[in-house]
Amino acid sequence: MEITSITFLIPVILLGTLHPLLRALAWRQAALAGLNLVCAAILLRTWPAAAALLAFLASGYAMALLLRRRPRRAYLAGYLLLLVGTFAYLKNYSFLELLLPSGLLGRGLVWVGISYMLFRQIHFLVDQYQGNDDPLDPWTYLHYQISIFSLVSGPITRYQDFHEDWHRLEPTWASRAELLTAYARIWIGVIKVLALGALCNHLYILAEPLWTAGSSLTELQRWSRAACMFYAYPLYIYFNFSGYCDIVIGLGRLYGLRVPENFHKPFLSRNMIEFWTRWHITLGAWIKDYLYTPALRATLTWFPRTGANLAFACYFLAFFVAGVWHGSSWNFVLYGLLQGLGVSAAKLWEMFLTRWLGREGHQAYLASRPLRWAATGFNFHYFCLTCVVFGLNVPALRQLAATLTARP
Amino acid sequence: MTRGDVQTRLTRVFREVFRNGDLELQDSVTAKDVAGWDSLNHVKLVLAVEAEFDCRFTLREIGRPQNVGDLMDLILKKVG
Repeated sequence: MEITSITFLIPVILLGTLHPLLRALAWRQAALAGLNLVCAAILLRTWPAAAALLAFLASGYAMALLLRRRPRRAYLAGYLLLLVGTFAYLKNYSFLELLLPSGLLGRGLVWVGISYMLFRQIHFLVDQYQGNDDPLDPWTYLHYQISIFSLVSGPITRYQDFHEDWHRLEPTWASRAELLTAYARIWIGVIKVLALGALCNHLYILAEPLWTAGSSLTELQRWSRAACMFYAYPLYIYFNFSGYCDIVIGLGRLYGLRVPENFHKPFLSRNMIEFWTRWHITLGAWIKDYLYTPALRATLTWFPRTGANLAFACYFLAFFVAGVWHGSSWNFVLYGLLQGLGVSAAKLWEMFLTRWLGREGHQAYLASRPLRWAATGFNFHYFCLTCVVFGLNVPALRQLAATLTARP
Repeated sequence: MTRGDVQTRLTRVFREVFRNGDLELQDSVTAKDVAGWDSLNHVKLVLAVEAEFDCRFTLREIGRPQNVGDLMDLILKKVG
């Protein structure tokens, strides 16, 4: 079941168009619940995956109830350790080869959207532990986790926002124009995925000989294909992912769900810190709220005098984890390293400039348009570099390096 | 504690954290209006506010205030 397929879009849009006509909230919830459950059943595919998902959801809700009554750090820490460890095991992360005997390594048992569910679960439980008084009920929690408008590839929604919408499910548009905008956004998303993204993917695939059988290429062919790969792949990811987000945001509006924005002109970012506030925005926000802020807070508490100088390390840690979260093979460890390096270097550069130029000088630097464009161009190319690692496994990366450095 | 009390004490905290003795706070002041109010200094500010008002913010509350007015509302809610 593809989000961009006619077999998915037409029924969901039709149901979304009729949805507001259901007068009672219970009916609107039932219709959306039916949609979520049918889609989840189609996407799960196997009974073991369904059983694993059920265990994941049931244990998460049970832990939330326990944390409500007894908000003990040991309970939360123990469950999160188990959760993350199980996640790494089920996704068959490559680094487990270093920790476990080969006989214990799993074959992999995952369901679609598991990575996004993990982050939603952590947010949900940490907030419960910290005493946020969100109303709890299993039906809302279930649909928070399996909502078709965030299941497949996010966005990473927050429980409190979903709860508010789920118990209202009223039209989110104030005028006919806004409603038409929601419909238009769906189809713009489809065009992004099926046309623009597909075109960029085609250009990317033209470069495939570079990492498969590159030795027969001339130097011109090698470098022209390298340029294709370098620029086309990030654009492919952008059109594919932002297009998907356009679709689910537009669809969500039809049903009364406010699906959060996930992209805002990311290639205009001047550094990687800004980049993660514009690209996969909900992931950047989650990383900031649940990794970076707690890490920095602990650092500043334990090292009150020198902690500020260690902020870049907190950036590195947080975005290294963000990188590794994207995939289980070793190239994602490289991707995480590059992401961590990018944001921590941006922080160090900012700290250096502030000390060198002073506050006013730094403000003047930030206000300079030529410098901004230079920084934006550099940052875009840095992101393209990280995408090279994102798209290829380690053997392919080695072949790519060998091909590009081979003498003609 | 009145809102005025909170504003007076919060202004002192802001001036210490951002090293600006001339800083004046209004409800509408945001991070863009204060030089150096980035994510690092935001956490430093949170720790300083917690120490000043003897309270503790959850992770959700740390990210919630959009301006100084929201922060003062949050402090008033915390200290009752």
